[in-house]
Parts: sequence; structure tokens; C-alpha cells
Amino acid sequence: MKLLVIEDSARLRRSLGHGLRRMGYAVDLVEDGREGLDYARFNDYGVIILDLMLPGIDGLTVLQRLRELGRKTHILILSAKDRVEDRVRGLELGADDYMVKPFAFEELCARVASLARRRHNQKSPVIAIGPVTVKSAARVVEVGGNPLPLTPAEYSVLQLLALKRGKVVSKERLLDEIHDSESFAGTNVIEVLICHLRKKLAAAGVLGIIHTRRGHGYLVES
Amino acid sequence: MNPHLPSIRSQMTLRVLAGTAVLLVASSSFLGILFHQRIVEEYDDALETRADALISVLSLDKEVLDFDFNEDAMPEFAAPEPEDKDEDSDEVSFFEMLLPDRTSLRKSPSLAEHTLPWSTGAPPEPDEPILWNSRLPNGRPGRLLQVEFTPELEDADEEEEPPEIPGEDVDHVLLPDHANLDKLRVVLIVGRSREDLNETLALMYASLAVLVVVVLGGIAVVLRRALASGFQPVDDLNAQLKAIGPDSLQDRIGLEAPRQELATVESAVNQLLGRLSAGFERERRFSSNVAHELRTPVSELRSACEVGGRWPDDPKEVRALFEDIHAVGVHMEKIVEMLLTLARCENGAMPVECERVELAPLLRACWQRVEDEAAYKGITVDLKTTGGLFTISDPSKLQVILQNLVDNAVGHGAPNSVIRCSATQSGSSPVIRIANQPEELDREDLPYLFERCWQKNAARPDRQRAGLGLSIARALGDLLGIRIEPKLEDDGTFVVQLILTGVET
Repeated sequence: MKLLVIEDSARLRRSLGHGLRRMGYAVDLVEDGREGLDYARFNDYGVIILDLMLPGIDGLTVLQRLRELGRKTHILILSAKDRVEDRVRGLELGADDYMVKPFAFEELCARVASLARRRHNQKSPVIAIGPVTVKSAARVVEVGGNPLPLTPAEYSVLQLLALKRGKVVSKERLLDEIHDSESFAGTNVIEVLICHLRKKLAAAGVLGIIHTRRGHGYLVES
Repeated sequence: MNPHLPSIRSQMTLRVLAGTAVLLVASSSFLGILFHQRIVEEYDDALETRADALISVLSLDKEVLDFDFNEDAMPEFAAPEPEDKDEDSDEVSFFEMLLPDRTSLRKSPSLAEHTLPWSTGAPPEPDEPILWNSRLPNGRPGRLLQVEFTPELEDADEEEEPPEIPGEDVDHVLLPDHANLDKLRVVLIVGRSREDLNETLALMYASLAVLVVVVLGGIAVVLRRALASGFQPVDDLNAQLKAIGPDSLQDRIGLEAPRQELATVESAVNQLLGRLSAGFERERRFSSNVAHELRTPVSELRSACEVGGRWPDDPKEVRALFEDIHAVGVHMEKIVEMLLTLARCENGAMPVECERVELAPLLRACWQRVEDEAAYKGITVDLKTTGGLFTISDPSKLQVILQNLVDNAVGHGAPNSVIRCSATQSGSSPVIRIANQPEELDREDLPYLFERCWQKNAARPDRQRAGLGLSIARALGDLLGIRIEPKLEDDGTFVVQLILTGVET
């Protein structure tokens, strides 16, 4: 899943970017509100992490403009403003969640995962596909109760296919899920990842879960 | 309200009542003594009158004393009737006539076989009576008079005997042989009960005591009401002060019945509340500002630590996170140092060492330190200083003030603008003027400019400023006696003027 972090603190941007990428997300990092609004308008993000006090355009204005443009991206406000009226204002303007700085990185990840599930109308953090279980809260995959070692990118691809099980997901959509906006990787990266996934699943005794639809993309049966 | 504290109302009541009681007791005692003496004197006068009457009916006729005593004319000396013995015994009087050697000559019928006590005291004047209290023969307290006198001689030339009143016989008292007829002296002792006198005196004292108690009681009641009425504005003030809390500092005291004595208190309390309210508001803003100022670096630290700790396998990234942690530490250290500097200034713990300081080199040095930042923003600095311009100040602290103002001018100056700085002599004081074009500043921001951690825009890409520079400049300025006056001109130019201490030539 691709995330957009709009945060004016360079140091916080750096640690968040590193952490979230290591969690398997594709992350775009933006410093000011105006640039953040442009990124949000022209990209499809799973979740936007938005600071409120931003140079250029403040966070609430970014939020308001995005909702006015009809963007339904889940937005999590991450701000030092802790007053009730600030939180209420943010949520009233269309934010899906609000976190006050300083925060626990674990909690931020859990909230991002929760928003990501909501995007796919998936309430449970556990998705079962036959013997394969995708646990989105811990970002792990298990086969028959045993963990399947996956890279963050492999996990992200499998998770998206699981969330959209029964539907064909295009290579471009999968690529968009694992790479940020500044990446120039081609769709063959997805083919390689799918190949690795099938091999790891086969090694664990699971065959034929991921199906190829030539010219369209990939599918996991529901 | 602390019930253990003394109450002005109670103290005043007690003191007024105690003072009044002392005055009343003193005055009533004085009156009591005066009346006592007067009553006793009148009593004694009556006794003397009786004695005079008895003396007047005694005369010496050759060798015999004629005692022309009429019991009907002086019924008080009559022997009491047996049935009236108890009732009238207090009205019974006694007399006894004796020779100085205590030879009894005559007694009143009321005395019967008894004798009256003899006073051995000396009279204040010859022929003056001695008056004293003693027990009467009938056992009652009595008042006695003893007087020694020379009986009047019967007129020898008087040929005609005075006509005798029918039923009245003259008593001829035979004198003993040893009586010296030439210098005959007779002692008369007259006594009467003093029970009625004692009763009169007791009534008088009781009346005075009751008067004192009633007057004191009346004063207590009047005083209580007067104090309750007089202290009403104080009670009102107390109630209003008690109702003031941290959330109602905007309220002001307004007495329903203003009093001259409380006008100063009311005004002072209202002014104090105004200052307190402003101080509270400033503290709230400071707490909020400093919390925000610290939240972001703390978030940076926490996030860097958590991410670095969770994925320590990427040395390059971990190193970068450590560098961030170090930078945050340095930034927070700077904030703490600045807050400590402010605290030291406010506590008077900042030593000041003044000397003669030339302003031009100091200003040039300050501007040199921000050259790069100014150039980066395209800001031009127009510095005009007059050579030989001196002030008396602490050079290191003056430099901190100037550097903060210069940093502020560049940091908040609009890109590609001009900052004009001048140092001139105005009257006896050197004046430094720094004018810049701020990116965003309104007239209503001016009161907050020197507040700790106040920032017009909390979102800053550099995160280097903590909003403490101007606060430190103001605090140090106060310490050095430098007036710092901010002004926003109509064209949006922000001017800070420093008025320094001049050097006497």
C-alpha cells in the first residue's frame, strides 16, 4: 500500500519514511502543504498521514481541499495540537483519524493498517485463503499456523490480492502498491515478486492460490 | 475562612465593651462613693440634730442638771412596745448622758438597763462629735454619735420660771459629789439603727450595678448592629474575593455600597486581578507554546529511536537516525539554555559587568554572522553607523540582544527585501534602529512578540527557532536598562528601536 506523509519536520519525515517502508509500505514524503496537496491529487494513496502546522498551506486546508475535490483517501492527522477543539475540527473536516505528537510508532502503524483495512471494507485484521492466513496487524503470513518468510514487497502484493480476493488486480495497481511516486520500476518487478511468492507458497505446500489473467493481472480466488 | 484567626469585629466589640465597662465602673464607683458620703452625711446630720435637741433640753441649775426631755416630742427614744419590738426596732433611737468618767446620768427609755458603747477616739475638733458604727444594745448595726459638751447654765437673773407645759415634767438630775460644777462637762452618746441607711446604700449600689450592666448590654447590642452594618462592605468584599478562582480572573470586585476606606483596596485588588489575569493568560500561552515547541522534537526523538531500534540492520539509516537524534538533542539543549537564561534574568541571578562599549563594531559583527542566511534569502542589509558612538553596558549581553534582533530580522524578513539598521545619537542616548519587512506580522501580534515561545507561524521548515530570542532580548534589555520598542509602520515595515545608556562626555 502506498502512503503519503506530509510533515514539515525533516527528521520526523526521515524516521517515519524509513519505518513505514520497512513495514512494507510505499511511502511518499512531502514537506509542505501545497506540495502535499498536489501529491494527493495526482496519486492514489491508501492512507495520507497529515501534519496540521505546515508551511505553504496548513494541514486543515489540505484536508478540506481534498474532500472538496471528492478524494476519499483515508487521512490520519498527526499533529502536536492536542486540544479537543483541534481534534474535533480535524475530524469534522473529514479526517479519518487523529494522533497527537509525540506518538508511538507501533500505534501509528496499527492505525494505518486499520485505515487500510477500512479501505477494502475488511474489518478483521486476519484474512484466510485456504490454509494461508494474512495477518495485517502484524504484517505476517502464516501457512497452517507456521510463518511464511516474505519480504515487505511480497507481503504487500499478497495482502492486496487477499484484500481484493475474487477480483483481478492489475500489475500497475500492484506496482503502485509497493513503489512510491519517485520510483521508475517496471511491471516486470511484479512478475518477479509473484514468481517468488508462488515458490515460497509451494515450498510451504500451498499451490494454485495466485492465478494469472493474461493481459489483466492476477487473482486470488475468494 | 480560618476560624482560628482573630476577628476584627470581635476584637472591636470586646475592646469597646471593655473600655466602656472600665469607664462605667469608674464613673459609677465615683458616683457611688459621692452618694454614699452624701447619704451618710445626711444620716449623721439627722443624728446630730437629735443630739442638738437633747443638748438643748439639758441645763445646769446650780447643782442640778435640768433635763427637760419630753418623750412625746421625741418618740424615737421611747421604749418600744413589746408587740412592736421586732417591727419598729429599726426606728428606735438611744441616748445616754454621762460624765466624762462614764458615770451615767440619764438614758433614753429605749435603752432600758443597757448602755451604749463608748468611743475612746478623739473628736476632730473640741466639742465636735465623734461618729462611728457599732452594734446597738438590741443587737442591730447602729450609727453612734458621741459628743462632749458643757451644759447651758440656767439664767440666774431670770426671775420668772417658764410656764410648765401640762404633762411635761422637768427631770432634775442630781450630780454626784465628785462632779466639778465649775467645769462640768457632759458626754452625750446618741445611737440609732443604721439598717435603713445600709438598705439605702445597698439599693444605690445595686442600682448603679444594674445601670452598668444594662448600659453595657445596650452598648453591646448597638455595637453589634453598628459593626454588622459598618462591616457589610467588608463582608461583601470578602464574599467577592472568595468567589474568585483561576477560572474567574476576568471578574472584578464591585461593592454594592462603596466606602471611602475600601476604595483603595477595591481598586488595588482589581488592578492586581488584571495583572494576575494577564499573567495567567501569558503563562497559559507559554505552557501551550512551549509544549508545542517540545512536542515536535520529542516526537522526532521517539520516532527515530523506535524505528532505529526496530530495524537496526541498516547501518546507513541507523546512522542517519542517530544524527537526527543528536541534532534534536542540541536543539533541545539550546531551548533549555535559553529558558535558563530567561529564568536567571528574571531571578536577578545574571551578573552584569558594564563598561564602555563602541556600538559600530558590535553591530557589524552581528550582521556578519547572518550574512549567509541573508544572502540565501536575497536580503540586503543597509547598515549605517556613526563612528565613535559609545554606550555603557555589559558587552556580552548587549551582543546577545543585538544578535537576537538581527537573527530575527533576517529569519522573519521577506525574501529579497531590505533590512535597514542604523546606530545614531539621539539626545544623550545612543539609539539603534532595525527595520525589516516581515513575511507575516500584524499589528495585533505586537503585544505577543516578546512572549516566550510565541511564534506567528508554528510551522517552520528550519525548526531552528524556538520563539525565545526576543524574550531573551527583552529580559536582558531590562537587566541592562535598555528600552526595546517594537513598532509596525503603515507600510508593513517592522521597526525595533533600542534606546541605550549614553556615555557622559
